[in-house]
Amino acid sequence: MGFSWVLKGLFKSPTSVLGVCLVLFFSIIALFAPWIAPPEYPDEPYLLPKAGWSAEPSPPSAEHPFGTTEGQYDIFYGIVWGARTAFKVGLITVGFSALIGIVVGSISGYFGGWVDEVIMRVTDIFMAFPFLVAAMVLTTILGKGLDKIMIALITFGWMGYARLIRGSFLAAKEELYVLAAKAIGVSDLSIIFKHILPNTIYPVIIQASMSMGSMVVSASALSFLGIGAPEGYADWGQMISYARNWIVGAPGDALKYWYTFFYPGGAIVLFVLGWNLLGDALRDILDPKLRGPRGAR
Amino acid sequence: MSRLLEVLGLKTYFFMEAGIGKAVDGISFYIDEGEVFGLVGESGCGKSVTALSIMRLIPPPGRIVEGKVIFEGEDLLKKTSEEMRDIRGKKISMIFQEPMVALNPVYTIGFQIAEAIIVHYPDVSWDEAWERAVKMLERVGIPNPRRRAEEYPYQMSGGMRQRAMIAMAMINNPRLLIADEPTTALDVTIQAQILELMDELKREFKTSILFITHDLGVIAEVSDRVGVMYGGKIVEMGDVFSIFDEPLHPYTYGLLSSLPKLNEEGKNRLYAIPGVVPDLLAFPEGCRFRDRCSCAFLKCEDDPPMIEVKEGHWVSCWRYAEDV
Repeated sequence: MGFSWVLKGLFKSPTSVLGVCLVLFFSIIALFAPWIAPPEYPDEPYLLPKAGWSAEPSPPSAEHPFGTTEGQYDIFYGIVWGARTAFKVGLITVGFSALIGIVVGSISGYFGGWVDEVIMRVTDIFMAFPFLVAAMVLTTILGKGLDKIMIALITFGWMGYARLIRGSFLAAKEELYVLAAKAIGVSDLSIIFKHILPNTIYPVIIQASMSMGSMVVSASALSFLGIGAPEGYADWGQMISYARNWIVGAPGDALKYWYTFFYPGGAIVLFVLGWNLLGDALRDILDPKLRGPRGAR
Repeated sequence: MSRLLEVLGLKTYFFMEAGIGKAVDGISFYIDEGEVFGLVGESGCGKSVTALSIMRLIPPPGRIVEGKVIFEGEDLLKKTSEEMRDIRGKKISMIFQEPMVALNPVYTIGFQIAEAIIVHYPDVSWDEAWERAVKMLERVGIPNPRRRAEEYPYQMSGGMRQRAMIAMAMINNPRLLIADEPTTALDVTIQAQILELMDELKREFKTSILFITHDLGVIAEVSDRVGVMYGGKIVEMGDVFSIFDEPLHPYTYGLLSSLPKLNEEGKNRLYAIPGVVPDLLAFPEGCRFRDRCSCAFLKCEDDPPMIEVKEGHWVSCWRYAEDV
């Protein structure tokens, strides 16, 4: 079952095609951000350009295709560069929490006994905190900033992966090929990472792509609450927070400032949807328990 | 011929919540250089645990409690785990009962054999290791070895995989090969081929083999000497001819009688040893076979000694003790 086989599977159902397209779409936007929306301050491209000093948002115009939000920040620019922020936050938090989870979980599952007991109890302690509240407290302690959000999200985001991989290891370490590897003199570390991990990594890949979306939502939530991205930073969560005062519209015209929340909100929804659909598709392809008889390799 | 391996009073117990499982309870045997020693017995009698004890690969809650495993004059049970890792795959290797699951599904056959070289000889280049893997695959009778080396285990049949396992085990030219029921999962024609291959390799590489099986026919075919195991003990041991021609222990006798005979009319029911193997946690005191033995008597409540009835033919049964 190779890479091409996964690709083929991705194009089998319309929902997974949609997922792939959405993720690709955002990747292209993020990748070509400097060309799509050339930065006004090349040294700090994530800083939103301001079109004036008036507080009231102004509707889409030729100069500002998506309009401007509170403080005259350009929405179009924010969406484009916010895509970069979203990928940065998603990839880094998911990448590191998966990495920590994999290392911790495999050691726990492979060695078992008191090692497992200690590691799993520590994991339980981390899981005992409500995710968003814990991340919020930690971000507040660390200070404002996107990197602080990411540290907080990683700190409270690795446990799921650890449990997942530990479970797989508990089953996989009993496999005969593990004993056979031991019998030719392979070391424990090599057995864990070279022999067992490639056989147990798929659930983690699925989980990781699913949580790309939720991690970005959590980061946006923190930004929305004002403890995340610094003022004027291109971040979808922050852009929604700018729309907070304008969501109700004006007397007699509830949707007067629709563009302030529609574009950033839509971007978040589509981004999360894309990753979730992709994750679903990957699960259908990679999880042998869900695979139909036709799918056998 | 000199002694390659000598197991002395080996005891491997499993410490479970329900009690202590004495899977291997004080067995002794030896294997000479170039010799095939067959270990035969029914499921759960401790054959595989014996093999894993020699490799020091007993999984918890199992533990080697007592005994010595002397290999090339040194006690393996006193080695550190690093020293032991160096011995595994280089001086002692093992092949398993289930070739279908003993190879890692995510790596090619060639990769896995080449890895067995690199693990022990880190100086060997990957290309050279690969070349040697291909040569070894050819040696174990895999057609088109260069292409086959690049295939994954699932692309091969059971017989092919067992050949690949043998190639992996033999690649570093070990002194001792432990074969744990290597033919049990294969069909009969393939069995014969694999046995023949092992015999050839034994001659070519001068490897001793510890051959574990429950199949008396296979044992008669391949071994020079045989140990019969029952309930974690060796009850009879001797060269293959004396075991098959004059079995002494009632258990060996019963095993041989329960083989179907080709030259008899089909009227007689096949003989079966009465009773079942006792629970691992509750072996009877004294002779462990006495509950099922037709000739048990009072003395059997004590542990029977190992008695050398003829030169090289040992039996653990009170019937052969002189001073009862």
